[in-house]
Amino acid sequence: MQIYVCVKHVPDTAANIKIVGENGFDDAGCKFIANPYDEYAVEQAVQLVEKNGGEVIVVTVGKAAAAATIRAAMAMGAHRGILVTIERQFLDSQTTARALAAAIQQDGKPDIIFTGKGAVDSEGFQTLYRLAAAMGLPVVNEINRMELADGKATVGHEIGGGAREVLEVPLPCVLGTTKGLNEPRYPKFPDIMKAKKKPIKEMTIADLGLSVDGAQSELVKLEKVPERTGAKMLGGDVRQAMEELVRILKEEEKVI
Amino acid sequence: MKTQARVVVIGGGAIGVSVAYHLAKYGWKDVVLIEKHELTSGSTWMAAGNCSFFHGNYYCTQVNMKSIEIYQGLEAETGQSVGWHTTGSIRTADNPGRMEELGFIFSMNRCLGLDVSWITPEKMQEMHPLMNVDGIIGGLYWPDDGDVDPNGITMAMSIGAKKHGAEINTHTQVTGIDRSPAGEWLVHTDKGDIACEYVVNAAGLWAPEVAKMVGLEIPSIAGEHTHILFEAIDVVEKRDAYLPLVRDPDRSIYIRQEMDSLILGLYESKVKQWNPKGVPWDYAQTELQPDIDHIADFIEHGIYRFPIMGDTGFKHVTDGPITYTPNGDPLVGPAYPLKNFFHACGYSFGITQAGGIGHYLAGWMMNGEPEIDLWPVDSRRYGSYANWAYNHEKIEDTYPRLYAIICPNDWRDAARPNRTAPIYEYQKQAGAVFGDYYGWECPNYFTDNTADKRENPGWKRNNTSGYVDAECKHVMEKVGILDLSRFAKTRITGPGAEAWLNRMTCQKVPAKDGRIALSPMLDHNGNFKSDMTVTRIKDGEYFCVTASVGKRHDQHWLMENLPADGSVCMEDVTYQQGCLVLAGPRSRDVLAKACYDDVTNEAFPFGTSREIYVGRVKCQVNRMNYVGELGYEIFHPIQSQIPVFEALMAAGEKYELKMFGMYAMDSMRLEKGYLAWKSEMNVHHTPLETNVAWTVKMDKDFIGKAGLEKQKAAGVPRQLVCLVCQAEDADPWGYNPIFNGDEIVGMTSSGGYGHRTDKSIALGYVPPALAAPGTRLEVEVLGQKLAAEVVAMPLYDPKNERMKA
Repeated sequence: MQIYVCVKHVPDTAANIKIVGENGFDDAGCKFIANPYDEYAVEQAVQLVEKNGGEVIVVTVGKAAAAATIRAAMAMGAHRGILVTIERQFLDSQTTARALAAAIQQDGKPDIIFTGKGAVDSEGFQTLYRLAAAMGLPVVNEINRMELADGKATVGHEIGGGAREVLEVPLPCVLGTTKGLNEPRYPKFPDIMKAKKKPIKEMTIADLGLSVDGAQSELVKLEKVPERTGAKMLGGDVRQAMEELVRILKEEEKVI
Repeated sequence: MKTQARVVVIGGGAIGVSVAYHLAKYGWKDVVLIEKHELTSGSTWMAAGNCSFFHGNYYCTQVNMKSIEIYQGLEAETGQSVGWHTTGSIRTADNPGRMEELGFIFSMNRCLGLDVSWITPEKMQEMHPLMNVDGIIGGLYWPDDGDVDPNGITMAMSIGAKKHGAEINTHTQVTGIDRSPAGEWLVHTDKGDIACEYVVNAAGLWAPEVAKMVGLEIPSIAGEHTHILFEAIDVVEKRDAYLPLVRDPDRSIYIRQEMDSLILGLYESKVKQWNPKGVPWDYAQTELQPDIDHIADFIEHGIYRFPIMGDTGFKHVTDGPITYTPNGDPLVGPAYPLKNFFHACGYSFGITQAGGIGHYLAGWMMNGEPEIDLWPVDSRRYGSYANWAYNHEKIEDTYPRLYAIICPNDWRDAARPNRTAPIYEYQKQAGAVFGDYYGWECPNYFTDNTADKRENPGWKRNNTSGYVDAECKHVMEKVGILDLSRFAKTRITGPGAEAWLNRMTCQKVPAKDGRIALSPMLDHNGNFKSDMTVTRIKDGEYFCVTASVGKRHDQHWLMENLPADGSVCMEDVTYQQGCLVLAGPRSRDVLAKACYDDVTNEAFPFGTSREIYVGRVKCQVNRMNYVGELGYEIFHPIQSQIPVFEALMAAGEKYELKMFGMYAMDSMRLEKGYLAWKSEMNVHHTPLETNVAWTVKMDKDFIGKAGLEKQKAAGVPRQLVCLVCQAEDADPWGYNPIFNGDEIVGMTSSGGYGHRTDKSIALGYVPPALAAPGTRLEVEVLGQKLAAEVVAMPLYDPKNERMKA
């Protein structure tokens, strides 16, 4: 099987983001990680290839430093990587999807393309749909169950209210992964060292005949969420505190 | 927020909170702590939380002991769990040099009554089944070591501090510090100003920035430290007892249990300095990008020692900033030259020391003196040479060696030279091998320049013995010259000078021009503050010489005590004057030939000082020295050192004048029973316990007199003695337990080999009942007990005939 996994290099959610200028941030002083939802995608791909044979290829669009995230995915078992480099910090979903599609098409014939359900940095939740559209493939997002048989994937995802939808998708397809699908493995040191020797094919977005200009959306302004203030500490023992809380919610906030 | 406080502690990490907690607990009102973000958000949050007794230094070991004691009681006092686990700890050795170091630690720990024992590789394997003990030849085991939750101890101490009335202000950033004309500190913050009597700089990563606000440059730079938490390990999960912490210093790693798994920490071969020019103020509790490549070799060391780590995933790699100083020890105590400004920063092993240092620093601030001698961490151990650039270069060498074998004679080349005497090149040409003392390059010994000169550091006698032996014997038989330009020199003048000096020292200040007096300064308890010689130049002018390394410490003490009325003037002339010591039976002949004055014994007797032309240079010459031979200390303008030196060397040619070094000096001073500052003379001892009790003049008033009276009334509890030991190849160094049978009755303060007497010598303190010459005791060196006998002091030239000749 030829499985592609789209992985994004994102700032650690615990990082203290320092905004620079109107729409940028200090990425040199910031810890980056592989987008957590993408780790389910990598794990799923690696498990499938471990079982059925084949190859897992990680595809990333990002700045040159994103190679570290490809290495992290390769330490989990992916075989090689493709890095489409851009100079900017943010790229709209449409251009990202086109770049991913072009890079995958140039590289080979996918049986499955995995992505995370969305990225924790820009939270656009669109890339996988646009990628599927660009490649003319079916797409299901937020899968937390998956089985593979007879050239079809049977996938499940929660649709709210405790209900789960089970869908059958023909291969090739684009699947967005989420929590519950698997337990992403922690990389072991020997695998981290092996990953250093695995190949990463690097190209610029221009090499794919694409341009970052003419994006459908632009990030205009980045602002810090104002810190929440005015927290009220309720005193007394637990019972008194609970009674006071209920009173406030009823009488002052009128939410219950 | 209070606008008026007794003390403002800047920094809400484990250290600052501990200082605030202890100050409040011990009774200070209006203790205010300010923290620019949340508590623990600098370095504390990322600490591994190891708490062990181990430290290479005797006093720092006591700080660690105190921390553990405090942490174990915090939960009961505050209700906040600190996550203490007693795990025990193992420190391994895979080479004989390391075993010697552990031998020193073992003996030193026994002086402190610690439970420590030798442990075989087989036993280690049994205690830690995941360990591969290949190559290990032995180790030490401390059953009472453990670990804590760094956040837990900080929160618990902050609860305790508040309970005792301290105010803790988070999200309050210091923006500047001023001093009012009345001498009050004004701490400016983004939430308003606080006027206070004392300031404590516990700002961790930002301590250099806070220091800059009061005009100080301190050697503390942030570096990245990484530790790795592994995913759950079955065998660990299934155990019902905690695995011991293991430190394998030869592989520069530590491993401890964390819940159902292990943490591996490492000190890699090259430190990654982080924002070395200054940590941004807005940094808070954020992990740095781990760099596995940078630490890969040490992860392999970890896997070698604990093979299961190779088959276990990395659950989390934590990379965070920690401060480092030139020698890896923190910067604590009064900040020279300020009044009521204290440092508590530069910590690389902050959790293991936070509790203890809070206790000891609080005591220091409240009582004026620390309860234990904290010189090893005193910020004043560094002079102006230890600036940012020095530290930047030095920690490149120190960091990878944080687990290196600690030898007292390991002189590293990094970040040297800093200060050299004008005759440095002459010393080099004569085959000098240098040590650095307070930034100064001083010859330790001289070689013939053809042999392999470098010292092989270690705890046993080494390749320097032959050189030192030759130097000592040459000084004993002929004449030698020693450069002591680094002496701290202070000129005290003014109408009030005599009276004031008489208050500062227990000795009577010389009343005649040209007289010299050994004049110890004592602290308020009567314990040794400083070793000083005072020369009366003329009425109202005194020349005071103190130990070079204590320069800031001693001059700070003098400054703090200067009268406000301007009747006494203090001038630091350290860097204006050099000092060459001429010593040996032929020294008078050499001086006579080189100078234009009468230097006969009648004209220039022992214990006097004269102005003499040595060659064309006017010098102040003191007839005394620290090696116990006929000799002279020749103080001269530093710019004229080469002419003075050349005049002496030319005059000395026919007397075979040769240079000698620090090692010979130290060997000879031991034989004479001359005390060394911070060895024999420290905050634990009064002169009454020593052979300089004669300097104490109880018929006058002086600082420390009350303490001495109290000690006299209660009976002097111990006595300094000279012990001759039956050593084969390892002499005592200090911090050796002294045994009477099976009982530890005292500790050595220093030791070494006396080459003129051919004896292995220790100085140390024992109960008076055991101080009589002839008393047979034992001294433990590197874990081995040596037979030792108390001998009369001084061992060499008991009637001082040679130096008075």
